Amino acid sequence: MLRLEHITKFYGRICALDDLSLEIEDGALYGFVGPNGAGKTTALRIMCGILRPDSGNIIMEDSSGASLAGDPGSHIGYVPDSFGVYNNLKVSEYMEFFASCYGIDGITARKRSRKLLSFVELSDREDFFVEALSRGMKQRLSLARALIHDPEILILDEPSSGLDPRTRYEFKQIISELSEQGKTIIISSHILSELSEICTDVGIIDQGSLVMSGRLSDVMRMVTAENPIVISLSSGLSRAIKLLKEEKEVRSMTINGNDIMINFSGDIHEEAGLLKRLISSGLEVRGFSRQKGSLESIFMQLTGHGEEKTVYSYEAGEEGEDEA
Amino acid sequence: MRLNPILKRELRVQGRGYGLLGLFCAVNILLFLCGILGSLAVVSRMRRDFEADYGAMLYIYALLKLIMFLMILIISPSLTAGSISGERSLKTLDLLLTTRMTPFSIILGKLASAFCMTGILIVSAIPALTVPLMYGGAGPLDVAVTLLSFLISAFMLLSMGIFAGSFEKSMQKSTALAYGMLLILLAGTVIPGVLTAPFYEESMNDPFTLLLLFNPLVTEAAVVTAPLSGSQLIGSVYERLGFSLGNLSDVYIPLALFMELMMGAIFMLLAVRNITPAGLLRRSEGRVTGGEKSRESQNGK
Repeated sequence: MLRLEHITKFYGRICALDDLSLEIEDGALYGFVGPNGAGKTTALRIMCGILRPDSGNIIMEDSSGASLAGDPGSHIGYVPDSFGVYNNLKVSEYMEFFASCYGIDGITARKRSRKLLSFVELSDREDFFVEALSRGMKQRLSLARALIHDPEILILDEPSSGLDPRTRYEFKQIISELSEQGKTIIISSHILSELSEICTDVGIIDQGSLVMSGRLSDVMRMVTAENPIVISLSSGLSRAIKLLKEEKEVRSMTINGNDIMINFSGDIHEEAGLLKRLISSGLEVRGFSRQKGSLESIFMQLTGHGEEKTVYSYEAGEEGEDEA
Repeated sequence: MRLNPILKRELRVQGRGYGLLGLFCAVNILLFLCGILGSLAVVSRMRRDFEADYGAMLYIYALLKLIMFLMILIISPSLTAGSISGERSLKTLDLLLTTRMTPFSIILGKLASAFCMTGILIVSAIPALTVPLMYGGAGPLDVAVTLLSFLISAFMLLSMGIFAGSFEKSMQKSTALAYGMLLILLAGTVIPGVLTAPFYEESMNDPFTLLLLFNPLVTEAAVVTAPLSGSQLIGSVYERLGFSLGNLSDVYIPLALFMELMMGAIFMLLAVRNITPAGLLRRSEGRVTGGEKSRESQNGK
């Protein structure tokens, strides 16, 4: 487990990280999300030991709770937002150079290098100079390099930036595979839709503080619970409005054609009860579902860029339809 | 013994290009030309005047050593000034710092590779340097002292280059800084003493006199002129600057070389300090601990 305790970091008088605390469980694929300048890269660099926090601790523990032995750097593989490659080395030389930096030499280094190059599908480029690789290949090489010492934790800072959709997809597949192998992966990205597809956990950072952190499914559920329910009807709109007005959990209503969007404060059992009452009153209900939340919507809400959602609204207790 | 990975990589990369080979050839050709032309001039004068002036050969030997040293002076800072700043601009320094390599071993690897190159250059120049010694005049000991002084000066200059590179992100800026530092070292150790000398009756009382011990050109002048006149020539250099060597004359060369070694070591350690992420200082097993600076103390600045 990787635990950050009350990390604070200043650049001059600018506070980059403000009492940041978070826990990342073993095997998690943790998406680190935040706007530009939120402190993501600073936090990741502190985790890697490249930067020293002004205060606070970073603790790495195994599953039994004991501190990991050895230098913390030997447990972490780091892929920065830039590739960090030597253009004047061959691909195999680059891998073996970093292997030797971790004290792995000779046949072991060569074997490990070949295995990883094969994993990132660069086996056929082993004797190419790094300079001759495409951007996507360099990114995959950088990932293979970060894995050369078989770290428990992999930290990726904006790994998909500047890659084309196909390369991003391939890269995502590799990340998922690594996660399945049991590696703890911390990944920061601006492409939130991709993160929401692969991450098990998510942390949202804004202005140096963690505004939300937890299992992605829990975060999604929490946000989804705040989202409106959309009721699609074949007919009987006015009857449905009358019935919904009588429901105390319905806080507001928005009508769009034969669809009614309601802000409903009840839990899932009360939702089921409402659906039952609508059907038993003879209404032809074509659809009844809560609008799903996305990582983008959570991100926008939590980082203070809320979207305008309602065009027409009906407040509980009022008569007729109002324009917002 | 396990070779430093950075040294291994640098040697591999440098061995691929023709740049260093070209540099070695140019330096040696220049020295050979100077040596042969100078020797021919002396020999032709001997034939003309029917007088053997073997001492003139020693002056040619001194001139060749000075030329060689000036080349070391010019080349060395550029060999290392871009090494750390280059890693920074490639964003590979951070990656190296996340490995098991310590900042000291990174600097050592960089310095060792540049030192190997300079060492090869110096050793390759021995035949050219010793052309004027065909008539004798200086023994192997003098050649060895000269080589040692070259190597010590190269170590100091390379360390200075690395130190300059550890400050700057851009290679151009770090190279400019390295040469700026060299200029300060050459001129800055002479000017204060020259300015203050008139105010001291005995120049040895002038504390700025000792600054010359840090001047690599003056040190090399002492080494180069030693076979010609012992410490007399460097003594006269001092006198021209308004100084007196006094009791230092007998130990001047070893003392000055020791100072250069110390300066080299200090530059190297400062470079290590510059690239050390402070987090590494407090790393222990499975834990990185931050400093004691609190938000309140920062805001109260």
